[in-house]
Amino acid sequence: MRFFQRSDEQQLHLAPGNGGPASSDPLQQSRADGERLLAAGDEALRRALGSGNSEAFLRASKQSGGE
Amino acid sequence: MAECVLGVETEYAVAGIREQEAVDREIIVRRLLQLARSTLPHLRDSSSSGVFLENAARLYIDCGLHVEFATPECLNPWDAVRYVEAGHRTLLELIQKFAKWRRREEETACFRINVDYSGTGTTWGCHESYLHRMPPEELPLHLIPHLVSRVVYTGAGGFHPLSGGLRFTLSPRASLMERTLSADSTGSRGIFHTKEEPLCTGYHRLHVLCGESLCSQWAMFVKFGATSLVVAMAEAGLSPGKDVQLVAPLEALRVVGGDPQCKRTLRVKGSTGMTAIDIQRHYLAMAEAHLDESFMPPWARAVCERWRRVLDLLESGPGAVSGVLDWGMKLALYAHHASARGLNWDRLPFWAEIMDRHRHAVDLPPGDGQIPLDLALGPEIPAPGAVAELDTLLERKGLQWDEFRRVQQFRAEFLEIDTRFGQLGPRGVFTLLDNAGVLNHRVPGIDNIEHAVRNPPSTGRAKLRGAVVRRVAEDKEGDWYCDWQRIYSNKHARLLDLSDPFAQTETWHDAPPRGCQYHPDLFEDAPF
Repeated sequence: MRFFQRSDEQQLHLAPGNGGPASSDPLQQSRADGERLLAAGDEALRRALGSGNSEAFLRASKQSGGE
Repeated sequence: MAECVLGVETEYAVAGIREQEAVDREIIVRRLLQLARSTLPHLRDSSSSGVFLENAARLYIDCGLHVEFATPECLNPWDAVRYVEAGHRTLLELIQKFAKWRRREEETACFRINVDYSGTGTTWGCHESYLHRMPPEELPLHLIPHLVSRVVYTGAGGFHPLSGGLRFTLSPRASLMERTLSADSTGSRGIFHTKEEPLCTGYHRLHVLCGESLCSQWAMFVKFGATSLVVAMAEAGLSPGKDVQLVAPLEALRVVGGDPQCKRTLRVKGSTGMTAIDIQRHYLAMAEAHLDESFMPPWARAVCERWRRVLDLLESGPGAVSGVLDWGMKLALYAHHASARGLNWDRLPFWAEIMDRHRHAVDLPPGDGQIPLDLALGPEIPAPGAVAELDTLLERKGLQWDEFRRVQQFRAEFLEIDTRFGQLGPRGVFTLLDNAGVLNHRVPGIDNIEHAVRNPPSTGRAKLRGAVVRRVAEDKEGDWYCDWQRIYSNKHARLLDLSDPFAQTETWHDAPPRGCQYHPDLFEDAPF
């Protein structure tokens, strides 16, 4: 189920993003902001996951305890 | 109006990866510190192998080989966030210099995160300090309900670090708090840290260690601002926590962490129950009722406006904070990504439960990786009775083990995404989203970060420290050292007293020659 397609309409009251075309309908605006966030998220995750080997990444980034 | 003093320590996770293998982290952190010493104006830190910088911040290596940046003393939440971000920028510059120096096909990265996903419960900190003058033993009463309930906006978001599945939580680090009160900072950590180390005269220092590194300016701003106001109200004798005492604070912390809807009620003494938002509104209402009192800082109204706004958004559901708060951004992205991977996001907690029960049944300790499904269900299963029970459970829900296999398949990918969310630099997920203009996390007035990288705050002892660091950093013969309360030169036998956090003028004293007992450690002589 996609996050912004859930039936609870209250969840769609997004804070406006920093850019994008403004809409007079808050719900429509929220939905548009949400879609823009998810589209940018797809691209961000694609770039972040460049190595293609998450198991190796997690092994290599293992930390010791701090405070 | 009253002045507040606050500061923030951020421990970073640093990692190097070459041909899918880890680069020795000790090599990385040693070299980063050496690069700081060779490229940044600084004075040596007398209590560790770190440095104090010209913006009056401290950069050093803390236990567990974490690079740590402690902001200078700040007098308002705008500066606190600004100097946290200055720390990010300083670290990123050092990482980039390190990469240039290595000239190898490897990735070196620095992450804003406070847990790793090895399953061992490893955690490191993002600590806050608030000066006050009330009896320290009275603070837990007023702070604990706040520290538990503020997770609704201070949570970094991510996955439960001890689950074998994918169990989303508002606060991964909160999952690892073991006590309500504790003096320990490296094990058996508590919601309230009882350490008493003022690092100044005339004040106590509240040291909060249950928080997390954040990316959202809004979340940081309200975190520092609201907590400052709660401390100020407690100090003024208003007893802000008296009417919202939690029956079981640790249990409440778990409940808040596992509830993105922020609707679950917590057991509160003398009440039928309150949500985390109700508790936050209790503190907020008290702050708003005393905005103009002399014990409140001049910026209290600005904090309360954003504090109220974020609580209002949270009442509307998690979608309302998906561009504002760290955990809200992550929840939206991860749920969407789950869908793209063919996973049912709403069923992930169920599968996490199945995986955790299964691990328990076959006696596999955390951190030992996943159990291949074929082994788990094959003829050699170590706990056939327990697995048969799970079989029955799945059958009742109309689910198949194939879905378990898919969750296993993509689990590491989600954990990598969560680690990379706060990665410093252009590959970090948050940075990419921010650059794309799809977030709404910024707070007006938190700007000019580059200036904060090179300059101290405009008042208080931090201003003096920064000015002196800049002035004497080149005097290599002076044998200069620094700590939070003093700057001194063994060569010149002079000492600057900075024990007053509000000091405005430099007051130098004669000091005994060689008065500084410097304690070098393994980072002192990097083999480069």
